[in-house]
Amino acid sequence: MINRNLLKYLKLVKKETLLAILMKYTLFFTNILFILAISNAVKEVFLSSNFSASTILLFLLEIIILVIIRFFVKRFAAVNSFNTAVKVQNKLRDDIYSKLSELGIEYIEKRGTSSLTTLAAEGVEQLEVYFSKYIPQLFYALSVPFLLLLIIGNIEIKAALLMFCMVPLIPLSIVFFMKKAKKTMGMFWNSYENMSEQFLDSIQGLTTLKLFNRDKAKSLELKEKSENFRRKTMKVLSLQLSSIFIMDFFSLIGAALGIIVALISFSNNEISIMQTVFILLLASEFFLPMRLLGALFHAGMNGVAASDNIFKFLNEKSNVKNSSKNKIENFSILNFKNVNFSYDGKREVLKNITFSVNKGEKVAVIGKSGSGKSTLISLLLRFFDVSEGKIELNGGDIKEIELTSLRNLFATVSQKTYLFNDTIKNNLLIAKPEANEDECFDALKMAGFSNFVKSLPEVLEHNVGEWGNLLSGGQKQRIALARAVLKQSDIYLFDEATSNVDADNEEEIWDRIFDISKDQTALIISHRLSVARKCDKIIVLDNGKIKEQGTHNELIGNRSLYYKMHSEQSLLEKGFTK
Amino acid sequence: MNNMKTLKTALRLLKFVKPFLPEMIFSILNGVFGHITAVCVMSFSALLLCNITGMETFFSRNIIILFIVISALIRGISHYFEQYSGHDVAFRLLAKIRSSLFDSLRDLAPAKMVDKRSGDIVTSLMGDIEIIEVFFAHTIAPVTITALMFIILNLFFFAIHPVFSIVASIGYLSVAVLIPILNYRFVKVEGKNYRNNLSDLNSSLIDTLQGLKELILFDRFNSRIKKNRAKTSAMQNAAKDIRKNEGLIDSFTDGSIILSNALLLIVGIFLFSNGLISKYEFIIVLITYMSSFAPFIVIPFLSNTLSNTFAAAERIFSLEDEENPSPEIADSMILKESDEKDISVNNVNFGYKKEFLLQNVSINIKKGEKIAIQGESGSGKTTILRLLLRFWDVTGGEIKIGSENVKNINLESLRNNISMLSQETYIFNKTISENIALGKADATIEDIKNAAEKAGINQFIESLPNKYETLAGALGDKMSGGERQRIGIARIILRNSDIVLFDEMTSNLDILNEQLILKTINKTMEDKTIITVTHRESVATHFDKIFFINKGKLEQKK
Repeated sequence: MINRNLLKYLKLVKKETLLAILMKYTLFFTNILFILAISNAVKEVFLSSNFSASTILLFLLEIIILVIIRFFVKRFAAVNSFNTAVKVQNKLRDDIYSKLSELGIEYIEKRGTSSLTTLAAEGVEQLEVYFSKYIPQLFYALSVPFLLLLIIGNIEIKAALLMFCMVPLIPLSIVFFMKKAKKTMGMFWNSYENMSEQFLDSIQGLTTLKLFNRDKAKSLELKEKSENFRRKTMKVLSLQLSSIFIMDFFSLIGAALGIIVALISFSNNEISIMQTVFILLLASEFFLPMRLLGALFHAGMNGVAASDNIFKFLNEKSNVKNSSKNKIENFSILNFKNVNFSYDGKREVLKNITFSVNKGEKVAVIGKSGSGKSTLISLLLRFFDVSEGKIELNGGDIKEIELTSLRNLFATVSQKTYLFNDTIKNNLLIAKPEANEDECFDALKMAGFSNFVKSLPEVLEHNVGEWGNLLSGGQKQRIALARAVLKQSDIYLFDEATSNVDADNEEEIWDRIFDISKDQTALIISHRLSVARKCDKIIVLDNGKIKEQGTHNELIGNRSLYYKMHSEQSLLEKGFTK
Repeated sequence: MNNMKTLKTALRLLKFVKPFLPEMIFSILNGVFGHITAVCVMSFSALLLCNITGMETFFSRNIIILFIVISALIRGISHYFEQYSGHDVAFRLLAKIRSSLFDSLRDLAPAKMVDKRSGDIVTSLMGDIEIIEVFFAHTIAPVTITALMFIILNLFFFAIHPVFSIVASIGYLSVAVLIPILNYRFVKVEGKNYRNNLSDLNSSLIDTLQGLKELILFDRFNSRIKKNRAKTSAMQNAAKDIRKNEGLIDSFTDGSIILSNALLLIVGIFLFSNGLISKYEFIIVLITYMSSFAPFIVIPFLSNTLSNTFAAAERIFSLEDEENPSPEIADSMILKESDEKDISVNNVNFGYKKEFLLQNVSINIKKGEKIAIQGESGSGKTTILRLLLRFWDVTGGEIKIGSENVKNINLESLRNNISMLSQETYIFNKTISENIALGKADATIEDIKNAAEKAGINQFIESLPNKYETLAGALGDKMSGGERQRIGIARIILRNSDIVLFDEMTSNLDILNEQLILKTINKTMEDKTIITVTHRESVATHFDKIFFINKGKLEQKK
């Protein structure tokens, strides 16, 4: 089975595939020569000829040459089939990469990363068998019976025709079982995913289960799941085995019948002993290629299934167009003008948002979770485009600015910043590859983290682990802050940037940030009002709309939403005494 | 040394098969029978050829033809039974190993899973179990079948002429012994190299995808991709060596078969020329030999997966062999509702390795008292809680609940009396209500809603698409740290145990959420004994007494 999408990649490896088929034919012909030599020897024995040393030597020489040819062809075939796979896989990976850079963030914001990971890592690997083995074998298995019909038909047409007609029964039986297996297979995969998910979940939460004394019940539940999975596995297996059984049956019966017909012709003196032995030894060749194809079929189909998901991803279209070449270098003013936005075209997340940020201003956006604060930043960085209205930088629509230069204008710290599984230093250098150690420490100092880093045995070379998991949430945020400071952009975007940092330290960090960024602009999203009150302007969002905006004092004077939030928080921050 | 270890692992795996011996033997016999019938198709054809050319055969031509057809038929059936019963044994064993692994994890669990890294190692064991399938389904039976076929075929050749069995053995042994040994040596080294490169690439790939947003925002996407390409080609170089080797093994196998066929033919001609065998014997032996290699050619490629399999089995066994760090004593006592539940920690010493993490720690907590232990990370404050829950046993001193040493208390009953909320609440991929019900197996939906209401999470849950029946997994990141902790609190409220431990329960939360959570705790757990460990002043101040821990020593704040 070849599908259209895969065909495009198959064209890439036309040469390699042809070579692979050619080598299969070389092996086929050396096999025929070998069988000819054997049948000739058998004939000589039956004619009771005397064997001179030279005939035997000649026979031996012929065999050795054949073995040598086969040896090199097989070795080369292995390399060739590997090259085929690599060529296709590299192209696929590159295509995935460029698609990622095109719609990366938008896609991930919508779908998450987990399916993408399986697709890029395992999906691509699974196509190896398809391109390097399945496709060449498909062409070979489809063509070689015709050649054999010609060769054997020349000697004994009845036997040849009989075997030739049996060959299609093998692929037919595969197709028949495929149809039956599809439903069972689906059930099997569900059950497998269900079971391994349950196991993982239970192991990861095992401490919790133990502490609640629920581990025994879980163990029994898992036993049942495991047993259920086993039964499903056996069902699938018995289907697969049945199809193998049918394939085996047709191959062997086909060959046996061909041989019997040839032997009957031999007994009627229609063919010679040499011809008979030749057919006898060659008969199985009619069926072996198809049989091998059947064995590869399963692995090949796994690849096709994986490729479906890959192509689905590759065919995604980005809504955010990067059509302009105008770069932006400096910042003077940012305007949101009557911006409306909806992710799904139904529910409006932002309604009629209008505000401006001047150069050097610190502007806070506050509001309850779900009020649309973070969406402002997503729109500004063009992860998505506004549904209505306009966002302007320096007076021009951001859609008219080249995307990379637009994003380079900002340094962003979000609530969940990702740290790479690498050293602290390399995580910082993402912001500025040429930065030296002093610069790194200066940036870390800003985030109140330099002393901690200095106390580590490996200092800046300390590895943060997968997901930065060797650090606490607060520590991760400090590195992210330092990273943003290192970038030295015109505008900072802070999205709940210190939500995991201790209260005492949080104040200090913000004081330092305000201190160094006097000339820089910052848009700060926070639900801590103690941070907001330091800003030049506060925008209060409620349900996607701007409820009020102004300075701290103005808003307090309004006695509206801000005032209410402020009183509640001051009470909490004081703590409660009993 | 290393080979000894492999052998031990193999023997231990074999032990698992013992209860399934009859089915395994059934599988093996069918395998042998299948191979014999496959050879018989060709051998009977040769016999028919001999009959036609004038050999006296015991059976008539029609009977021989019948034999050929029957052999072809039986071959498929035997093959089916061989595979089915072999896999049946394998999958039964896997199910068994899977649950026995989980059970031994249950013993080791809290201690074993405290840090994330060892948790990940345990997680990867589940994959190891799948790998062992190769040994049960694709190693034991095929190897035995090949050995039996070796004997049977040789007996046949020997009966015709002893020299044949020598020649045949040369071919069989080089394919099924010599080449596999060569291959095993290579694969062991290169396979490891390849797997390292592959996992390196995969983790880099995952890192790229997870951090995609950062890469794009910092304009580092392209340089990252370059790095990934370099890793890809490193992986491919390692893979190329393996594929080349596979090609080599394939070539050697093919060459050995052809050459040994030729050798047998020449020896046959020699024997025939010297009148030691008849021409009929010659052709039957030749054709039989030529079609008898099927069981042998599967062996060389077994070693590709075998070293992997043993490594996986070793990892599983080493976990199963680990000792339970806090075993249950024989006649442990059960804590009753009415028992006095003051906690006293007397001169406790404890260390994971040699160094003492806790030194002479003593503390008495009366029923209903609420205390905080404040200290930097690594100071051992969490360890005190874990010792109370018997993740481990103390090295010196004792911990008592009421008048009873915790070592003497039945573990289940001990843990029933203590609840703990830690930094991150694990949410199972079940419904929200099932997640809360973890606190009480027979909780009604009213109980659950009540607890959620008290924990201040009811409103959030009611706002979800399926309310209490929403699957937690479907929420993903949508549940904030504060909401997760509140689910944890709801569990504890539902459980209603006398003692509650808090382990840095707000350290992933901002100050507002922290204070709100503390407020909730204070309101709902008035009658409980509470021990909180924290590094935050803002948490500690909420409790009756504050203790400081520093370098393993505990002191009360004046």
